[in-house]
Amino acid sequence: MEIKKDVTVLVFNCGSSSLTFKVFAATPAGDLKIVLTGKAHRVGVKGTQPSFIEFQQGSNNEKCEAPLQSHKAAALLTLEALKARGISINYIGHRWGHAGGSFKTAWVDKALLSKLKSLIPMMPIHHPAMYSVILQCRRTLPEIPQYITADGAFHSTIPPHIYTYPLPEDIVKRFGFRKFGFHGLSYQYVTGKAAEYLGVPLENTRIVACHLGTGGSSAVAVLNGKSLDTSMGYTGLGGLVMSTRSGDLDAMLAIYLMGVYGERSDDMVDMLNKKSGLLGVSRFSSDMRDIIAQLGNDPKAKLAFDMYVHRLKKYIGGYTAVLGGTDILIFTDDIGVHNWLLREKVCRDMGWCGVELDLQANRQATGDAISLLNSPNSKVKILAVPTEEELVICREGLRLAGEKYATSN
Amino acid sequence: MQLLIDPAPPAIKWGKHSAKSFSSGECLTDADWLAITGGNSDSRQRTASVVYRLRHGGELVRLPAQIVTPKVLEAVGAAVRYLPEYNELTYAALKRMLRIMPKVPHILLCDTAFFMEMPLEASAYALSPLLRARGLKRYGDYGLTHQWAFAEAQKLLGPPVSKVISIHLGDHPNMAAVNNGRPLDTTIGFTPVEGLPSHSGCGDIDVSVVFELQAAGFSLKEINTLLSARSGFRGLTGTACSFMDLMNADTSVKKAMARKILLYDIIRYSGAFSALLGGADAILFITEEPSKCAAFIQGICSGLEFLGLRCRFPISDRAGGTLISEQDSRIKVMVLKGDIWRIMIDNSKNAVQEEII
Repeated sequence: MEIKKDVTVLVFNCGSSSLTFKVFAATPAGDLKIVLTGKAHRVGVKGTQPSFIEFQQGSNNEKCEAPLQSHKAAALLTLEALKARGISINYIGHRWGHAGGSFKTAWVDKALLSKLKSLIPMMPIHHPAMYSVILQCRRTLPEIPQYITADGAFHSTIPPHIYTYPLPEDIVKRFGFRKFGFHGLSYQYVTGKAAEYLGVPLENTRIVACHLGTGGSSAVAVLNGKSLDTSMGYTGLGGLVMSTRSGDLDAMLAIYLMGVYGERSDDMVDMLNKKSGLLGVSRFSSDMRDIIAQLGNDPKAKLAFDMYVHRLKKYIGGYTAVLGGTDILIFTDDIGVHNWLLREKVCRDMGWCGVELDLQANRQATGDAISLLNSPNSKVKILAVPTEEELVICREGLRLAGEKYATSN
Repeated sequence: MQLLIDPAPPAIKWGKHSAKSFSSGECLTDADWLAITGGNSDSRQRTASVVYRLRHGGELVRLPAQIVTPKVLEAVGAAVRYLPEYNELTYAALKRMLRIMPKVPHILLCDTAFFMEMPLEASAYALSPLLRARGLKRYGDYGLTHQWAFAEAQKLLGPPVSKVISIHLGDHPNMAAVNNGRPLDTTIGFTPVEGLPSHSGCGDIDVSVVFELQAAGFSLKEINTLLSARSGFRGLTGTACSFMDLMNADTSVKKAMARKILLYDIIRYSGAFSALLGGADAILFITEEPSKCAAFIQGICSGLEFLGLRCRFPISDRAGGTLISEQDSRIKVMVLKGDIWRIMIDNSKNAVQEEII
């Protein structure tokens, strides 16, 4: 495809209580520029603090308080604000969570919408919000083509002996239980960025990456650019200790709680997803910064932090082993790029696999730009890479649009 | 003569061990019991001690090997609920033998006790306080095996090793990270279903599977059976499949897949435990039939070659341990021929007389 004039793409990225949006302009020369970025905060959150939307356009920042009862409402306000600013849009892209392994990037049409609707239960926190934003865009801008990019598609390269759960075959066939994995857009971006930064070929590199978010977190083993294994599975519940999610558990534990204590399964799902993890262990906060601030005073905060580190170390070690050693270790997303103490603890005593942090560089890294954190002697390159899921979604859309033009010409 | 009692539902396995001989069998009925206890006072007099294996002591039985006192007996009774199928057998045997042989020492071994010292960050789940207060923690299992293996390695390896990855190969494969004789972590959690896949248990899966099965109308009992008795090697191959069945090289695609999954998980956990240990000094394999596992062990070792492992194969079945790592291997690798009777006999020598906390 040849772009004759700027093509603008609006990307929506739904979090559980936020809505990030970015407008990109693709120039005829093939460059991508950011026109505007913004985020709706405290969406659907009941609390004393007001919800608001912030916009950043060039050097101009604006913050508007507004009641944001839902993601749908936040999307509508965003679209109106863009119109008021005279920004026209050619395509709208959305991050979708779980595609059940069936697609990566696709145009939104009636058939896709009904498919998406059937996938809602796979991610009960995120999918309904994402779905409502897509519908709102169709209502407000019916003539603008929309597409979605599935977050888990990056993990479609995980081989069968790794994605298969050792369950009876009839059960697996009937329900489709298997490892899927998430944070694929982020991993696609940061692994590519890391290889580019270090000047090494991605298709010949072993990478362990940790996406440590304020909501969900996961780790991945990437062999030659392809996902080999990841810590989240059928849903986003398993793997690392997260803000409010438990991560790995004994499956029998759920049966025991329901059988012996008569817990209802929806209460269990709620407890394991929203009241566990850092919040469950510390009993006071799901925010890693609060936990760290209380490390010296509160044994429960210390336990929460130690568990987070312990689990993460296990995954980094495990993925290093299945890769037969690693070349690059990446930390990304909010906690990954902003938390030097966590990285320091995680990388401690990891010389056995060639990981050696430069303590000073690690403390000084701001998290706003890609930074090299390993000591000169470290066999493994250690990087903090700010992630850019929206950029990946934008590129996916341009590629999809290009294909469409190519076939229609 | 030492009489050994190992619960193996629905039966009790027994072993009789003396300096000159060893015999073993199973015992289900009163007549079986009469036969093993000898029936006559002469045989009873020849019994020096009775050794029991308790699989799950929960929070109540905290010593790996101890002389049974009335308080210990009471604790075993209260611990039955942790793993009723197995623990009921041990408890019943204990009560019966105390009655028949009141004069000899009775020694209780407990598999979970070894893991009582596991650090909190490894034994706790990241759960809400409400759930953690209900005793939901990682208890581990096969502590007797890992404790024994660590001690054996010290005897056999010359210079002592402190940081050990202990890999128990059997119908219920499991692993432990052991530092200076203390556990740092293990693959088994609240129940033996967590961790590596076993002959019939699913191992690590996403818990959401349980909720989805329930929503589809499965009862908790059915889900329990499905995950603990119909999964693992059995689920993957579609037929009853022991660990040794899996070791037999054959052309079955499904068995090859089950083998591949287990191999992968063992390599993954070896890396995970290396990270906790800050690198391992030694890797120990414990199996009843070393030679039959040689190809499988070779697969694991070649997966870990990046750690500087250099090993030689095949492996002999001779008693004791075989060092399979080469001189220049950065990590010592040893295969220990360990059956439960040997493990129980050796562990019983550590029995202490102590009241339960």
